[in-house]
Amino acid sequence: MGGVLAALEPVQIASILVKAGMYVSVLLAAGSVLNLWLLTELDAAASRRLRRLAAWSAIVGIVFSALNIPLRAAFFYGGFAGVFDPMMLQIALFSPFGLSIEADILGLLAIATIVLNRSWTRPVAVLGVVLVAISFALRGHATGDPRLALSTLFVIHILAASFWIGGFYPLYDMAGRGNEAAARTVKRFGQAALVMVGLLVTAGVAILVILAGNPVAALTQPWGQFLMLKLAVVALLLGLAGLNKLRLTPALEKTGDGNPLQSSIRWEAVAFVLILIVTATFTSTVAPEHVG
Amino acid sequence: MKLRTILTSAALSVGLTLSAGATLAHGKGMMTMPGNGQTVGADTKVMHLMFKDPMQITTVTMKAPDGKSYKINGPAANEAVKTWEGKLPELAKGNYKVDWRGMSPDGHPMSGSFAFKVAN
Repeated sequence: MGGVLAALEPVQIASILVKAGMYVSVLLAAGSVLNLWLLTELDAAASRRLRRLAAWSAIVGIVFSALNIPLRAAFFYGGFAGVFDPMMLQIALFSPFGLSIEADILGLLAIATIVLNRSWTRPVAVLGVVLVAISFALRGHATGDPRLALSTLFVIHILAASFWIGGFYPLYDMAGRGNEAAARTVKRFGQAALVMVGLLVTAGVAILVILAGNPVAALTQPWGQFLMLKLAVVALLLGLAGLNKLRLTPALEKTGDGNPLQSSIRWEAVAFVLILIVTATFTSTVAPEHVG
Repeated sequence: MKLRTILTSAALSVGLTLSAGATLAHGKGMMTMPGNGQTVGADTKVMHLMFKDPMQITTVTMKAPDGKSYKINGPAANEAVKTWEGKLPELAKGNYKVDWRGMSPDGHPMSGSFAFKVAN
């Protein structure tokens, strides 16, 4: 793993940073829409702020997503001069990766409409979320065999991850109020999170088995070592999620004090961003080899 | 207890979140001529990169013993080929290193490198 990181070229480092920015902003945009739809107890102010967050994340996501194309051209060229090379740009744009980025940007544009808060914007934004999730299934290992199964699993995985990251801000916002609506909102998210965790488990384990064959043997590869690093941060995140559900949510209901929960959500957000940075690094540098 | 079991299992799955992202794969299962570590004569005129599936080779560069880098020209970068042939410049005695970039049929960015030696 250390060897892989030491050998990174400037173009690859730029690609990793852009990809990490894209993951955070795109998932946040999609997840904010999912939570707007699910958390029915949000008051008008919280709902407005969440719509703005969705729209801004979508705009930032469009910028990061679009930057992937010239960076991919630079990789093909072997240096940053490739950013201006028409042939390399054309190859990047018309590759499966390019198609995926185009679908992603279209989805993000649809999500950004939610800031208008008209009757038609919610269904359009939800369609945008679906398009964004599908865009992840149009590239990389999701396009391998069995394609339908892998694509479906990745879409489920992305939606569940979006839901999670998209919940941080509205929960933080509502926890600060400490009223009954806040307690109900946090409780509702916790119930939905259990379903989402179930989906993450089912989809994730299936993807791991399909891609790597024997998950334990995969841990001996650099890919598996990156995965282990990521799992260490995931363990921290899950510990915080468990603490929120089992201790801090009941405490909010009982005392109306949302500060401990807000503090825990802040750490959860940090852990989630770390996970996405590690993911951006290892999906840009190493690939799983099928074992077993 | 049930929640803990679910959350622990989720760790495994979240580890894969987004790993559908484009992965930089390296050129495994491919062959080159000259081969990696091979010694060839100074009269060698071409190099070949051979793949199992058609590949779009976007850039091939060769570092010569005098430190100069040469861009090796072959089939157009937007053309997918199983065998890529590039014309070599005049070779002097010493060690050469070749780096190549390309894209696999499923869109993965690919790269690889190999070295060969020229003897008189």
